Amino acid sequence: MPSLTEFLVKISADPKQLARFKKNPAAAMKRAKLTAEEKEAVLSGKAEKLRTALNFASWGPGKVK
Amino acid sequence: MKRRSRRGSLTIVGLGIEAITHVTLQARGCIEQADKVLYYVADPVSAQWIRSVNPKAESLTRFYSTKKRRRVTYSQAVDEIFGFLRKGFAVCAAFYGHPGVFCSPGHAAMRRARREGVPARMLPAISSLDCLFADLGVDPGAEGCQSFDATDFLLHDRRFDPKSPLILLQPALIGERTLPLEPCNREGLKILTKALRRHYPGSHKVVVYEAAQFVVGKPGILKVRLEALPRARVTPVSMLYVPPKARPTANRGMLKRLIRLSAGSGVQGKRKAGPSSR
Repeated sequence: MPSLTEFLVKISADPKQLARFKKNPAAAMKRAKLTAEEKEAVLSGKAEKLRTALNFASWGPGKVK
Repeated sequence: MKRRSRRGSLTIVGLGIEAITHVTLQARGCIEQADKVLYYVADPVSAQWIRSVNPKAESLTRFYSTKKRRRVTYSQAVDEIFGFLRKGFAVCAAFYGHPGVFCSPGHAAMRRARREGVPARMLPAISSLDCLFADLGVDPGAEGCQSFDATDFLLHDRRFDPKSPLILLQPALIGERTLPLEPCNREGLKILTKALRRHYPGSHKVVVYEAAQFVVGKPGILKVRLEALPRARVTPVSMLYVPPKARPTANRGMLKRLIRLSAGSGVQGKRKAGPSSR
């Protein structure tokens, strides 16, 4: 499974993981082995970049299964 | 082993807008406990999470296509839900956002369940409207709130009050009957802008809003002049917020009447503190 999806599931489902990420985003993303593109998308917070990094379009089922 | 009634039961839940963090404890419990979870979500993060909570969860996305009308898709999704109900399953149907807001299959499944005598319940959830209230600081209790689907707004020439906030949903999908191939129908946006210009000046600032979909995301808040709307970046998940163009004028006769009313009840113009119907 793509590591960005796994990473977002982890920090969204566990408030402790989210707090750890907020305290030190770089370290948390390194631990999750995110690519440079994924890290940039996460830090930007921009919907379009996150959708591209996750490889889906929000206006259709796309690749979401 | 849970006992299954012959008719099964249906719970329709919403997952909110921000993946995972918007799921209520009540919805999570239903997903966990269901014999069968059928879901339609807009992102891979929510999909992964649902399958981790209930490994028997199955996506409804296979019914969605850009080549067929949305109502056909929705009808097939509802048929799938009822296939499992007929087997006596406790089914949880989970949808992105609020299952009763811009979610035709949610309402269609509830209507059919009532018709067929299947025990069914829809649970409330966080919708994109709720996110807009929070992110743009709009309080429907202060100035009112009018919301319409953008296509419906145009098609039925909806009457509204320009002195109260107006929220138009799916302005990118005006006239679209299938899943869109393009992120925005620009011609539709031009027609909408023209219709709004009958009530607001071209310089009126409107907001193209998109709620954050992930815990690391930021909401999209794009302020544009109404006349520039057809060229603005609008996506199928965008909403259009049109602020009031002026403050409303109070009806003096009604004001006097209400003052007399509150004086008579001993409140004397002051609202009692306490819970309201939020």
